[in-house]
Amino acid sequence: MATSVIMPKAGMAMETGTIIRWLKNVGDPVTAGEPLLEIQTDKVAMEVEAEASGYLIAILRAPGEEVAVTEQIAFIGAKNEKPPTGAPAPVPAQAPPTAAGTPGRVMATPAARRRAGELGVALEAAVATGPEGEIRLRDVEAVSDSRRTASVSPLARKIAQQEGIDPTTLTGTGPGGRILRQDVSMALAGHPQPHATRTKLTAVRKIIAQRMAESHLSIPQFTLDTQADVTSLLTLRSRINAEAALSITVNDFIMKATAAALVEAPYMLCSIDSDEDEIVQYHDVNLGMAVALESGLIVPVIRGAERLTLSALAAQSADIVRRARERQLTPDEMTGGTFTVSNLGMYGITSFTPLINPPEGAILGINAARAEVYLDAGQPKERRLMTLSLSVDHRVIDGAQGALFLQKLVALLENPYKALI
Amino acid sequence: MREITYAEAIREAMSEEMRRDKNVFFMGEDIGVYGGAFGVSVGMIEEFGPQRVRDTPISEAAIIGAAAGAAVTGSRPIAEIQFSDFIAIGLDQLGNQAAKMRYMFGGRAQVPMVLRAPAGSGTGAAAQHSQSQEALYCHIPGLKVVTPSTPYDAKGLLKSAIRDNNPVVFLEQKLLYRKKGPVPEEEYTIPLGRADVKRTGTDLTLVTWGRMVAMCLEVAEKLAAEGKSIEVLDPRTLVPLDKEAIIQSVIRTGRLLIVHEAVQTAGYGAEIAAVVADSKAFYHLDAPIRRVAGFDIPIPYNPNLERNAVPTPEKIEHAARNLLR
Amino acid sequence: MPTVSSRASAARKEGVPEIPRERLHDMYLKMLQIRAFEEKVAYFFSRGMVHGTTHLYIGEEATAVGAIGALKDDDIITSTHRGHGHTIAKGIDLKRMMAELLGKEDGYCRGKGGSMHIADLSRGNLGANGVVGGGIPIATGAGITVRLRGEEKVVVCFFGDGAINEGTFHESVNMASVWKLPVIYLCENNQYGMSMSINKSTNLVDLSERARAYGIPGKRVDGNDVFAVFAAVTEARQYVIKSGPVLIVAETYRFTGHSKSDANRYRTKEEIAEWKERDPIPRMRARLLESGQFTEAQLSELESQGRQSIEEAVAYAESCPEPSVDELTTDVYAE
Repeated sequence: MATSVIMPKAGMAMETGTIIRWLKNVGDPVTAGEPLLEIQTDKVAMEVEAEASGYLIAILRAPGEEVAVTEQIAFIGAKNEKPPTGAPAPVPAQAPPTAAGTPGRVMATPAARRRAGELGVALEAAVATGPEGEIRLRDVEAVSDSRRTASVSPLARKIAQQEGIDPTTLTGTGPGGRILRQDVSMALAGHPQPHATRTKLTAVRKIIAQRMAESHLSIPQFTLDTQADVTSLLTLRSRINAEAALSITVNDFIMKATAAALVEAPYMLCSIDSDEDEIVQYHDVNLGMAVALESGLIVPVIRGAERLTLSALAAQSADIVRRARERQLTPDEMTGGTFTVSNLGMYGITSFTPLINPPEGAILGINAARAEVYLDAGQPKERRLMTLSLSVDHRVIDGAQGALFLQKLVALLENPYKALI
Repeated sequence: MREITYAEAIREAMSEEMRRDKNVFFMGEDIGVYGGAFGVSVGMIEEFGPQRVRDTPISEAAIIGAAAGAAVTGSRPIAEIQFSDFIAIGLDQLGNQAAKMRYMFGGRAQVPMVLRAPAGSGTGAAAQHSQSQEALYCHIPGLKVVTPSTPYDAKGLLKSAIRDNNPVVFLEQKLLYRKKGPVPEEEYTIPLGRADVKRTGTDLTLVTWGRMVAMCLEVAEKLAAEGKSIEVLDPRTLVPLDKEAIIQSVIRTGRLLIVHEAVQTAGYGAEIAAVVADSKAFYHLDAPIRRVAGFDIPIPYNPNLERNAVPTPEKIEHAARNLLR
Repeated sequence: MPTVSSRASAARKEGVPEIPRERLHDMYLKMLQIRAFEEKVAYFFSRGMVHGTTHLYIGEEATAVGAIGALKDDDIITSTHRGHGHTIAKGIDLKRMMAELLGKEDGYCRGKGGSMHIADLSRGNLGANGVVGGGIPIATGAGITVRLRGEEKVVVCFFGDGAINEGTFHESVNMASVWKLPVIYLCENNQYGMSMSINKSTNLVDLSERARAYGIPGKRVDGNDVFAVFAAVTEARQYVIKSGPVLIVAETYRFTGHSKSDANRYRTKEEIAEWKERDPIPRMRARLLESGQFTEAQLSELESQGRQSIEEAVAYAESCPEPSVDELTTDVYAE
């Protein structure tokens, strides 16, 4: 009896997910818990694990398709089991390989399989041209090439086919020159090719755009700058790393101090719900850590940061960054933040005005630490100064409160041992 | 470069080695006064005398066994068996004695002998004088097996075989004895265990040896005109096999066709196919591994039947085309 | 139908050849060592302490010792599956020979050969052989090397009444006769192949007459009379160095079965008893005493020395390590 695989609801607000790629071919054995496919939600790209063991007996939705949550996308069953009738017919990518062989198993040469794995191409997406109906290396290369160079979206291809034009002769306005439906439509309408290229917003970018606009338009925010002498902090950090063989970053230290300071300054953990005319007071120090990925800025959350030791915090932050890059973050790790830290110090930024991350009330920007010579009783000495840029929501946090928080934070940064006890 | 026949190349190799090392001697049936059934040793008894070029009675077991006994006591005999089919008469001496003495005696003996014999069909000599049985000898640990396809290879390989301290089965091809090929005047040797790419190519690796090499080169030439690039690889030594050369070639081309005159079932092509399938080249195979080989039959007498009992250029071409689709 | 015992009578030779005392001492000791070694091996087998099988030379000692006693140290021999006697007679380190039987690393073949493949090329022993008649062509080939090098050596090729009917015997002796190779083809006729009596396997009664088929001299001797064998081989040695091969047939008898799995169902107890009366060791002992060259005490001393050397060999072999599995694939090919 086959088990159906559905588009999972991987977040409270999730309504649809887009299939990025299948990690198994039809006919492959599957173990419960193994990653089965990759999807893109509005927040994050993630892997979906199989919930049953058996064989992948049918794939119903292809890479690139947007699917409503809880809709069926595949079936897992016994080897050679036929997928249930009544279910929507499995979508063939183009023409299914008709090679004689195990029903349901894709016939492909070892070279083709290897290359498919290397390129992240699903074998089902290839059109078999081997003499026995098997998928050859060239067939896999063709899929990859079509994606990379003259790639054509399924819809564009369908319309082009219907209208009898060759889509690969068009200039695409999609990512990497991908030919989209609008390109085909424009070509059909006889319009000249545009001078600028338009790219549909990715899910991630769309979200960022919405939220930053919201932040800017609805929050009257202003930024307070102050300086901290981080000479001792940098020295302490080097010592800890050397003697305990750890890899604690400066950012980890700052987050630890921030968490400690926030405990003393709960008024920073507020925001306003203007619809209800209520002040929302958060009780947890859930630090959002801004991470820049190629696809855009994301802010994963370290929950209960004030309860973590420095090394635990450092381990978590390192883990989060790694998994963010590998698109393995869960939706829960992306929500629930009550204060955000954004560090542009590694780019040499000396001051900036970070935008608050709604529904939070404040955001701390970290800048570069620069060396400076000062006179101490007539003697020249070197110290390291770092500017902290704190943006606050003036509706619920006043300047004085922001300044007070910064004082506490600076005190901890300048006497770092205090943050550790 | 001068051109000499395969037979002359073999004679030169033996003569040069006998001049170089007094321990080398040569024995076999009709090799002395008669000059050998295929004329390979013409002139040698005149140069080296009857002590070192010994005509034997028709006694294959004694020929092979005496070679083993002479070798284990410090001589370096070359024993010729008139037709490779008759090695069977002395297979105990070859396989149970010569091949195993070193191992059985814990490494405290060596048997530096060469057993030369002509193999292969095409002369109308029929079932008992036309076989290619290299697979039998490849299956006996302790032996080395060499199958040269050109005069150049034959001379260089035979010199190395004579200098090798192990029993070497040196299988020559009857139909190649009269064929000429370039052979340098200067002395040279070819190491055992090293394959030779007779023609480079990119689309298909064709592994073949003996008389089939020339046939495969013909086919490759013909298909090159159509833009198909076939690499013809001659292992030259079957044991020890130059596995790495074959594997690297298949990694480049992604396709393997093995052609041998010997009977297909349990022929040495099966071993090569298994070696490649069990190597990193597997993940580069873009087509099944195929063989074109002799039918599983004794060699028939009728000339047309005889020709078709083993691979032909047409069969090789057909198989190559199929793989290149 | 000639009986087995009548064959032996026909072969008996009178007279003791002149042999230096030192040589006699050595020969008698070797006979004793062979007997003690074989009895010890039999003991091990009956207790399941030795792997595989073995073929004991008990009762045939005079043939090996008499023949090899007549050779020079650098003469060459090939042996058979029943080869412990030849090996000990040719001179071998008993400790390492026993180690080989126990499959140990320090055995002559590093544990890889066992009873049927013991060899010591440094002493001209080209090895025991697991194939009946397998050593005959090899001996012939050794003769070729001797001729090529112009050496004054001979090769003694031991083989049995079973092997004399193998094709290799015919091919090899003929080849040697044509090339006048210095090989003494010595047939140890112990009257039985494995279970087949010579009467049933071979029409010819006096096997030495086969020499005529090759135009070479043939001789038949009492294989249990060490002096008769010694005399025959001494004479043969001088001959073959110059003139080519000879065939000697030594009539003898094995007291034990063919191998360890042999229950002796093909011969009678009476026959075995009759041959035991001609046990070569007491016969030699008597003649040594008769000759006046040895005293009773000296002979007893040699007897205990013989036994002692076997005990030492056993102790050594038991203490040796087994070969490592890492050595499994070594020594197949020479460099």
